[in-house]
Amino acid sequence: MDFVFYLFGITGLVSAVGVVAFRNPIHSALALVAALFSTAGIYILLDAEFLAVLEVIIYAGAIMVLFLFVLMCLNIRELKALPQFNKKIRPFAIGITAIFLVDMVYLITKSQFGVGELATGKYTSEQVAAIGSNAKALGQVLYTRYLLPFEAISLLLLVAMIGAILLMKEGLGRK
Amino acid sequence: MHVTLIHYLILSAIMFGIGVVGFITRKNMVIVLMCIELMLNAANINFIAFAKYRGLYEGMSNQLSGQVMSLFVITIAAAEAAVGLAIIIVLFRSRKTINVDDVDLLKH
Repeated sequence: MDFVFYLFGITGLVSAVGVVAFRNPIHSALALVAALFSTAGIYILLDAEFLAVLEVIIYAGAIMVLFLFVLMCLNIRELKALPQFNKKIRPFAIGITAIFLVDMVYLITKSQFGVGELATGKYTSEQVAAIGSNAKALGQVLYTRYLLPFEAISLLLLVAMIGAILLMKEGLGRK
Repeated sequence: MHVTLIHYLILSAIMFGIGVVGFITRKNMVIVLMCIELMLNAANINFIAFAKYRGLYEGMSNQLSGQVMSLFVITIAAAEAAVGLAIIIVLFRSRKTINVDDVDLLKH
């Protein structure tokens, strides 16, 4: 189990660095796909099978295809010629992020999060297994306790879709 | 060392940090959006890790609440990617650039 965690974790982090470091935007997009697949593996380790599948279908499938499609629409040769990195600001960005990370790691290790006990209460692993599957249990929670947020989020998705279509309409943005 | 909640939290913190560095240093707007996805993804790992392991508040733990929140975050990420990429396309149409430093209309 530990080996699998380190495998997925290190693959995910290396691909995440790739997203930031590659010059060619297409390579960055493919590195992001690798990072998302590794995250899906981490989700399976955390007993979230349904979300792992969603991660692969929605993130690595739909969203990344959208990204690659937009990169294809823009002229890739011109894009590669552009300056890709802001060299002036990079030392500050890395320094501030390093301070943030040291803080976070200190806080996480010093806090009482690390008790390492599994969650109690409703929907423990045994109860989820008794219901049938992770997807089934998630559906039960989503359509009862989280019904209103679910409806709100679906409305948000509709608004985003209409907004994207309106933005892309012919004539808008042309001078 | 056995893998516990701490390991997942540190993994997600590092991934978030990489996303922040990319967000600040990259000039290509599409890659800036990708780094936002990376940061949202790191937040998702936290949600799901806290759903499985017990945090500080024992009474509040409901295994699936974290997973439901993570589902909502994925939805928000999809909406954000769609609108963000539409904005980038419109910007490219009108100004022929997707370099974040060239788009400084509000600065002057």
